[in-house]
Amino acid sequence: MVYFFTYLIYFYASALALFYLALMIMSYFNTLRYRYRYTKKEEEYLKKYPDEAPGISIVAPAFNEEVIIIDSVHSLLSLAYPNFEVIIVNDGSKDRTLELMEEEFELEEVPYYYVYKVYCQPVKRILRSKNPLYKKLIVVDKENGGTKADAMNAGVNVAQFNYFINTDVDCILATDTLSKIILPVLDSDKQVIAVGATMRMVNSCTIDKGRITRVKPPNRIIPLFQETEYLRSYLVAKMGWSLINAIPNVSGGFGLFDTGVVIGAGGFDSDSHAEDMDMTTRMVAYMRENRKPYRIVQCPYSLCWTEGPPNLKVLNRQRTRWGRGMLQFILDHRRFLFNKDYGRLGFVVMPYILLFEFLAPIIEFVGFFFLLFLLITNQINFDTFWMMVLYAYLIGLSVSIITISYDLVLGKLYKRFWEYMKLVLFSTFEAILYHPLVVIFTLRGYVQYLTRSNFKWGQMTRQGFSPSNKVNNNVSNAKEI
Amino acid sequence: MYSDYYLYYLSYLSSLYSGYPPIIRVTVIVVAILAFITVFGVIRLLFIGYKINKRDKRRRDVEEQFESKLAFVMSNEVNYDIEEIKNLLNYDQKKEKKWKSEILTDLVLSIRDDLNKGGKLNHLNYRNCLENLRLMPYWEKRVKIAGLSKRKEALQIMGSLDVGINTGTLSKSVFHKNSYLRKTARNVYTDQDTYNPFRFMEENFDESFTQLDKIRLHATLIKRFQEGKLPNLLRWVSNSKNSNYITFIIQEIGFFKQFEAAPSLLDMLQKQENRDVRIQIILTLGELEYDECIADLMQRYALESTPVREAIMKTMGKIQCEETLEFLVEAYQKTDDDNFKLSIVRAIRKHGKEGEARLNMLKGQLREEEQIIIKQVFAENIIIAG
Repeated sequence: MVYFFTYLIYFYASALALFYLALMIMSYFNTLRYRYRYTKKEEEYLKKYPDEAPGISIVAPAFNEEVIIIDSVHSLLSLAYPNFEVIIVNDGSKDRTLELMEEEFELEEVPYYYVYKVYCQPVKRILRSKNPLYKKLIVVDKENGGTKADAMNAGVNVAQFNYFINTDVDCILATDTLSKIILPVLDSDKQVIAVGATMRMVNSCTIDKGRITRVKPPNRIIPLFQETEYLRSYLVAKMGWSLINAIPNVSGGFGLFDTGVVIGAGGFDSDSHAEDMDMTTRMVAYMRENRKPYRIVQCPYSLCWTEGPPNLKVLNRQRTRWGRGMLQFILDHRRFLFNKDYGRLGFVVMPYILLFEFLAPIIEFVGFFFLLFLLITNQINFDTFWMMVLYAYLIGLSVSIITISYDLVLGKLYKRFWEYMKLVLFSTFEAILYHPLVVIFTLRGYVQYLTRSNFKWGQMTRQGFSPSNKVNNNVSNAKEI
Repeated sequence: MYSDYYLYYLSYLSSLYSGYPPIIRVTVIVVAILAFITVFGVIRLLFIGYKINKRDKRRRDVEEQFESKLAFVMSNEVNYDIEEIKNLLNYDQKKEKKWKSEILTDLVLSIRDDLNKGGKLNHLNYRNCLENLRLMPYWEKRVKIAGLSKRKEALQIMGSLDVGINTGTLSKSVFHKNSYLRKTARNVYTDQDTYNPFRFMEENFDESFTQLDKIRLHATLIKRFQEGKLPNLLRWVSNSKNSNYITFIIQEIGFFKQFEAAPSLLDMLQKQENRDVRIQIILTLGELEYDECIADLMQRYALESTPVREAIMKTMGKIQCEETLEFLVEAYQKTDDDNFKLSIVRAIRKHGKEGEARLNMLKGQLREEEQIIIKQVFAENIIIAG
């Protein structure tokens, strides 16, 4: 039994290492290919010939976001793209979110024939600005639905364009986000149903009027670890999967979606704790069921900056929710597993999620106690023990370092080179200081889901974007994190 | 060259674990590989950082040396000959490094674009600067010998420089098996060739024709139109079987207002089986304000699918006459689809004061919830007008 378990863990780690090695190679070629296909010239075409640029709706739900809402909306309205609209969904905020928007953007209620193409809580009114400067802005005021998914659906019902961006008001988008993210859609011979891009931490960046003027790695330790973790996830995993059209998830923080396919697949699921992964999977299933060819693409460039959990408490909330979402996802979508009707979804994506995303924290946790058991019972051979520890440690570290070099190749975002070395330095501690916490919080999420504990949407203390806001950051706002 | 050392340490490592099971020995090898990847990653990172810093420094140096001189020449009203520019710039490409030509190209293009915006560019001096810096031969050479990605970049830059191309340089690329390179080369050919620029347009342009190709070609056709060299586009439609390409050409017929194509388009509509092409023909007929098509569209309306009907509504809204107004009002009363009703109301609203009057009359006959559709369309106009 002891041998069996030892080998099980060993081969599991080896399979994971092989997977990551394959993803690293696939991601390398895919990134090269992406850089070769799309240059500045393509983006210039869209700016020069605005009538040819496809319209994009940006949908951003807001619930008690009075600290950041004004800067955020200004930031979204100032994106450099000729044809877009910004839809802010006020999800029954209890603070001054709506009031502040009404004052700043000179909003007034307009008659609107609201059609519930996908389900959401009742919409009270639609507001638009009297000032032509803000004519791209639409505010949907609705009753609180308790989830981001419900608010997203309310926004999707209003979206007039064929593609929409799913984002959060606490996210800051790069000025050229829209022209970068639409290029793979325009350049595909198959229907592109979703596009993801790299997300990073905004925590220590310098921001002026809702725009990032200086990108810096986070100063606090948890967001710093999470920066590397995000880079690994987007630049290695998703870029790698993108090469074989098997991206498991387009992030809920930032992603471009085909409006028609989202509506066809029934919209975002308000009951889901991982609404982004759930939506991506249902979109793929919808396309397969309708026998329509499709692609999901990953753009390697950093286009979105979001606030990372500043402390353990918030990290705990974030990861327990992700844990709940993961377990719920596996149970809800188990019918796709090894189902030949769903192609890659059934034979690649679902087995990968089950084996390496869902089971990983369980195996690591059990493995730790198994190690303790072996220690106590003197069954450890210390001649080889350190080799095995080094093996597990180097799998993570090598992937992190390669990822950071990919990021630097794509463009030097940090001003100083030592800021990249800071990421490298902290990557060496990630396996010891950060990863065990992530495992524990994720397992806590599993347990919460199984015991049907009282799920509460995470509370996030907003820092705000403007320096003046950062001083008064005592307001606690609820948000799905 | 140090292979003996490496072999020595490898055999030492191997001897350390020689008595262990194979799985341990495999792990030792994997750990060695992972350690190598880690060290290689750090070295690579340092090297990339060094290269970026070096590139930035070179760029600063070149800008310092040439920016003001180039801006002076390219904006000057006096025409300078190549010899005078050579003396001023003091640049001999043969003695310089390759990277300098790349940075100089960026610099020349950025100065040209800035001057173009203010209408201050002296085109003759611009050409003479390029000649003196020997930039075109540099990029032409690259198109001939570089790898795929560099070749594509070189093609784009040659197109951007916009001083004509020796199309012999493109001969390999226009038939290359890589579609991205091939399409870029074909677009540059259409943009820059002076003898037979529309050769590829007559041949379907390319078998893989995407939305992005449409935008690229649209830009090229606008340039050709401004030069007064755009032929009747309809002839390219009859030679093609690619529905994406046909749709694009028909759209461009509307954009360039080639009114003489309208009767042929209406004929084509009768025979066309592809839905997307039918939609585009209807929209283009609207762009061309071809009122002879109204009767046909009315007849077709009841039999068509929703996207085609939407196109008919838009065209009716463009043509705007009493007949279309009556038809739209009737269509509104007959439809049950809420989204579609919104499109119809928008089309009616485009008929000016008469359209507004009909909408007001219609509003009186509708249920309260449905009146919102009309109110919404009125409000849209108020917001857009500011």
